[in-house]
Amino acid sequence: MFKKLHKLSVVTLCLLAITALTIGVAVAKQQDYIPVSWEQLIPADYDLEALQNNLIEQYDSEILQSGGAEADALYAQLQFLQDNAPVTKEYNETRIKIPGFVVPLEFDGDKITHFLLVPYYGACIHSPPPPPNQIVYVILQEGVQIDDIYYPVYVNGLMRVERMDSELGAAGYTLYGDSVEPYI
Amino acid sequence: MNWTHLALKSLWNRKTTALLTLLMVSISVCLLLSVDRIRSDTRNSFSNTLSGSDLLVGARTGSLNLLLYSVFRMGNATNNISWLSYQELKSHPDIAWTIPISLGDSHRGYRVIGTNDDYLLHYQYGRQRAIEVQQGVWFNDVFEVVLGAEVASQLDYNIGDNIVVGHGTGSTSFEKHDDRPFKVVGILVPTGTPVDKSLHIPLEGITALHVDWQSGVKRQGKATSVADTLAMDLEPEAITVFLLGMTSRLKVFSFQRLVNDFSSEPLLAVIPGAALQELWQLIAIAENALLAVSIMVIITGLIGMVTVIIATLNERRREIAIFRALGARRETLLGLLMIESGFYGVVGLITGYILHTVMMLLANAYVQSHYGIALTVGWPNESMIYILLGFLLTATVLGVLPGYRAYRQSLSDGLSANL
Repeated sequence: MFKKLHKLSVVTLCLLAITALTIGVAVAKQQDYIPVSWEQLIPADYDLEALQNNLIEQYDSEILQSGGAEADALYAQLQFLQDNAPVTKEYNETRIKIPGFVVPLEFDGDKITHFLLVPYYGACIHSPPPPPNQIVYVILQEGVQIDDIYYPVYVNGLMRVERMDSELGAAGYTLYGDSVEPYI
Repeated sequence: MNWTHLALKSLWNRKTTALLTLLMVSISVCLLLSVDRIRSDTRNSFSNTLSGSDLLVGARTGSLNLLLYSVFRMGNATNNISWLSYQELKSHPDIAWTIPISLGDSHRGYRVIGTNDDYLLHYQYGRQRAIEVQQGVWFNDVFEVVLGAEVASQLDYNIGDNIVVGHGTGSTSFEKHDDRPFKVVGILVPTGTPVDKSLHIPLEGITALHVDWQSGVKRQGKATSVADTLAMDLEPEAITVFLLGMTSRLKVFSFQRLVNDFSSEPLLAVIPGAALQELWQLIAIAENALLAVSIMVIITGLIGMVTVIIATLNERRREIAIFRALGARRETLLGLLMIESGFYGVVGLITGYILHTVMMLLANAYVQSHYGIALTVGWPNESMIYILLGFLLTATVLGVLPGYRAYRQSLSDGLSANL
């Protein structure tokens, strides 16, 4: 009788241990993803506005107001600055969790497999496009079905900072997504 | 005796009613399954059509409109892009490749597409699959044409045939470019996309077609010979749309902005995936309405089933009274009628699924050729399985209603003498 009880309690203990371990692993896995905000993706020492102001100061503001070739040149340079905003290496090869809006690129059936993650919706038309350090290219192994792209999501995955083209030396963020969950 | 056996025997005794009820339940299941299947098949065929292209550029219009006419060949283009603008945009350093496409002519109801070698090199469908030439070669000369798989099989064309391209995109054209036939040099592998329904000719071929045309009509008595046409400068003046791939996908937005702000011509660039998602969010309203209707039909079917079971209780008074007299308890009677309604549920589901599969197989050929959507058969998806399980559970549990009624009635009037 006593022995039997003992046996039972051993089994119970084992079960408890397994449960605790599972929960522990699950919690650890959750904590594995470091929450990252969009501001953190801009290098701390980089100030786009200051650079832009520097540029603008080189031009005569009166000439600029009348438009023409000079204004175009300035605009092109400002655009170039923005298009080549630097990225931070801080989260390279880290598992991160980042919120954002989905701009679908590739589908598998009705599941999205490749998309661009941006910090605000309407990145497409109404405002100048976000600089490269404010766009994350997400690749999913398993596609995800998103019914409404006007709602933001969280993407969990492995972040890599990759050189996208060698010529200009521009780099960008690629996130190998493990999962996509709704943003609450 | 086994209760299940008894319930089924009793059902067999009322086979006409039972069969009709079963038919009602299976048709409602079939409707639900088919609506869901057609929904996912439509999405699949749309999303399989284009892959790997980062932007789609055309004359300024709506993004959905641009996507529909250029990729799915639905509707018509609103305007062209001048060749100069195309050359200018194409030379942007961030562009990896472009595919120019010129639309507007047809051959016996199939669209004719003017393009160049880049189409073969860069056009992708499905999960980044390139198109391939199955027979013959890709065009290499002005008056050569490469057929989509369906065009070749439906119109029974072979390599070496000469075909005439018509003006406009109707099923027949009264104004044909019949003085300049095109020679079939290649046939593409079937893709299950609108590519199968297209004829591909060089951009120069499109120009050559329209050499003697002015203001939309053919100039009378002034037919330029083929040789003279070939001697002309056939560089196109305009194209309808072009697809492009960027060196980096992160640059999609800035190039899109550049195209939309292009000062010499009003143009529109859309991200195909984003436009497709927009389309889905639009048709989701119709899809949900259809789904709601088919769930209503399922509910109607279940209510009908319960009605039939309750109605037949009247003619089974004696049967149930005998069960009671033999010592059947309330649970037994409930069980008996739940087995009956559960039977309708299970068999209705199976026959409904078979009916649905047969229907999809039969409709496939028609739907494929008329709408370009490949209907598939297979197991229902995960969410549908939950709905079906819910249906089975409801069907079985609903047997409680007539069961309880049978139990209450049985003693009071089943054994009374005036029956």
